[in-house]
This record gives sequence, C-alpha cells and structure tokens, in this order.
Amino acid sequence: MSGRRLRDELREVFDSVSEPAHPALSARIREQIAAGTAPTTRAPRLAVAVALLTAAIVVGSLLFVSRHPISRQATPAGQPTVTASPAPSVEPGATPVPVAPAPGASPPSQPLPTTTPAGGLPAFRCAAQSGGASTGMTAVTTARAGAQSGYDRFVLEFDGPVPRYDVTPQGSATFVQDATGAPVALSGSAGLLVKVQSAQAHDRFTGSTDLRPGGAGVLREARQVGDFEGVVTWGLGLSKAACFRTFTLTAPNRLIVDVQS
Amino acid sequence: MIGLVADDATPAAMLSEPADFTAQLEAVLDAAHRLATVMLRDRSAAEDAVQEAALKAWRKHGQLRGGAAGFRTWFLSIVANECRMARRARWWHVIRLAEPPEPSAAAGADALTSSDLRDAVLRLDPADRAALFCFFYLDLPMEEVARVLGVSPSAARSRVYRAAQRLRPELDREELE
Repeated sequence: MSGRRLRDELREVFDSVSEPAHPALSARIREQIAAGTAPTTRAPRLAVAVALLTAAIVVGSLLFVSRHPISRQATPAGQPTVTASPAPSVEPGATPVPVAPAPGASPPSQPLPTTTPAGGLPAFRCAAQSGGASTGMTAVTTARAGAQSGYDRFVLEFDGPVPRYDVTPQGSATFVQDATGAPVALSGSAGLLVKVQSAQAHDRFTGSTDLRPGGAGVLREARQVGDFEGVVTWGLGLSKAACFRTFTLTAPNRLIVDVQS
Repeated sequence: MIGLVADDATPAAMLSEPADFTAQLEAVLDAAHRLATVMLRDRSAAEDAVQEAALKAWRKHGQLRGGAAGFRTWFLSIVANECRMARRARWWHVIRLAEPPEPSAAAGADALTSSDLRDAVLRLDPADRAALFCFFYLDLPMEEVARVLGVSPSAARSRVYRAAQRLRPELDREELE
C-alpha cells in the first residue's frame, strides 16, 4: 500500500467529510468586517469582567468582616463599636460616641492606664449601670482618678475578677457613710455612687481613699464612703450631672468609670 | 483589539483595505471551512469558527507579513485555533463523538475499504485529522502544516506519520515524504 494510494484515498474521504464554505458565510463575514467590529465578542468579556469584579468585592468584604469582628464588649444594640480616631472625641451633650484611643497614642503625663478592650468602649449613658460577675470575696488594691480628654476616669483595681458592681447617678455630691449613716459631703454639685459587692478594701488596699484629680474636669473628688460587710462604696463628686460609662479590664483586674466632661 | 485601535487611528490609509482583505479571505475560505468541518464535524459550529476566525484575522491583519501563501497558512492557523477553542468550550462534544458517523454519499460506489478508511479518519483525534487534512488534502508543505497546527515542523511530521500509520499500519515513513 503506497503513500500515493493513501493520499488519493484520503482526498476522497476528506472530500466527503468536509464541506466547502456556503456563499452566505462569505457574505456574512464581509458584512461584519464592513461594520468594523464584532459586537458579539465584546459582551462576554464585559460580563466576565463584571462577574470577576463582583466576586472580588464580595470576597474582599468577607475578608474585611472576618478580620474586624464586631465588638466583644457588651454594647448597646445598633451602635457602631470601633472608631479609629487617635484621640477620643466627645461632643458635649451628645449621645453615645464610642471612642477607642489608638495604642501608643496615649496623651502624655497622665497616670491612668489607657489600654482599652479590643472590641471598643461602651457608650456614655446617663442612667444607672451595673456589671461584673458574682464571685467570692475580692480585695480592692488601689484606686485612681484622673482627667482625660473628653472624660474623667475613675479606676478601682482588684486582686481578682471584678465583682458585681452598680454605678448610680445622684443629684447631689453628698453621700452616706456606710455603717455609720453619717453624711459625707464631697466637692461638686452632683454625684455617682459606685457600689461593689463581695469586696473589701482594708487588707490589701494601698493609696489614698480620697482622690482629687484637680484641673477643670467634671470629676471633682472621689472618696471611699464605705468598706463594710463585703461592700465597698465610693462616692464621686461631680461639678455637674454628667453621663458616664462603665467597663472592666483585666491584667490587672480593673473597674473603670469614665465621666463625660 | 490593539490592531483595531491602530486601524481606527489611520482610517484614510486603510480605506481600501477591507476589500483587499475580503478578496484574500475568499480565496482561502473554502479550505478554511473544510478544515473547520473536518475538525469539528458540525457544520454550524464550523461556520461559527470560520466567521470568528475571519474577524480575528481582520483585527490582526496588520501583523501579517508575506504574500498570499503566507495569508493562507496564517488564516488556517487562526481557524484551527478557533476550532480547538470551540471544542474546549463545548461540553457536548463528547456526546457528538459518540454519534455514529453520517452516511457517506461517496462510500456506496467505492469499495468497502474506502468506507472503513472514512470511519477510521472520523475516529481520529481532531488535531490528527487536521494534520492529515492539511498535508494530504490541502497539499501544504510540512512547515506550513506545522504553522497551521501551531507546533514545530518535526512535531507536525510525526503527527502526520502517526495518524497515517493508524489508518494504514503497514505504511513506511519514507512513503510520506
């Protein structure tokens, strides 16, 4: 069987298998070339580009959400949790504005810890607030007070988990000494009563029980007004009625009361 | 796309070009369409492939260098590429391959071997079929077969040889050259 023979046979086969171009095809091609472009080839590319873009946006936002979890701190519903402003910004009389001082951007010369919960701070509110967990007896180890930009901060430090606490606003700066019932007048014209259950402050407490932060802040004075039968009470004298926020931090365990100025 | 932009940029110089291009195209359109039907085994798919290839060729024809023979090989290579893409894009080509080959008009008169050969050709891989078609039917030199298939000349030679041997196992390589 020679190659020539195969060639002839294959020609016959291909003749029957293949088909010449239909005249209409040539006319169609001429038309499209005269029109200059082929619109059919563009639409799918555009669709693919749009699809890819959409997919990229979806994936990007999912990644963003997964890397920036919603607040771990208990915050009021429907409220944004984290703002990236380097300095806390609080408008006077404004409704809750959560602020999170950036790490390393703490204002100079202030004695208070500036670390904040990772999920952002709770909002300032004007009604009584409470928190903490019911535990065994905990000792208060120290107390601090100081001014920050936008608010004044009062801190109680504990040697264990922060126990159950209640912070109640009141219309005067006069408190009642626990156990004796004697009135204690603090400077200021309004007050916050900070009451901590299952705690005592006479074993391991160091520092002053009467703090005066000074300056022009709203917090004029903080004084321990009770350490009796497992309840530690502090009175905060304020220059005016103010909204506040409470939260806890660990390492060391702290209860923080920020009074909006 | 780039070629198209270039065309738009110099419309005056290109005015006579569409007519020249389509004239050149029509000279090779039959061969191109036959190649597409051989590769795709489907007439409408082949027409689509040739049409698409023609438009691509028109957009890129500024890159073409070298005469009418060059155009023919160049266009056939675009058609072959288009057919490969069409086969890749069509999930149903598997089903189509399973269909029995169409009854031949020419097979009836000739001997049984001719019909066998036809079946064997249809069973070949489309790329092999294209190689045989270019070499035996279009009488292209092996270098041009290689360019149409987008492979090196030696790869084209062995592809033609292996495909031919599958049809005629007793065939010697020298008989092809």
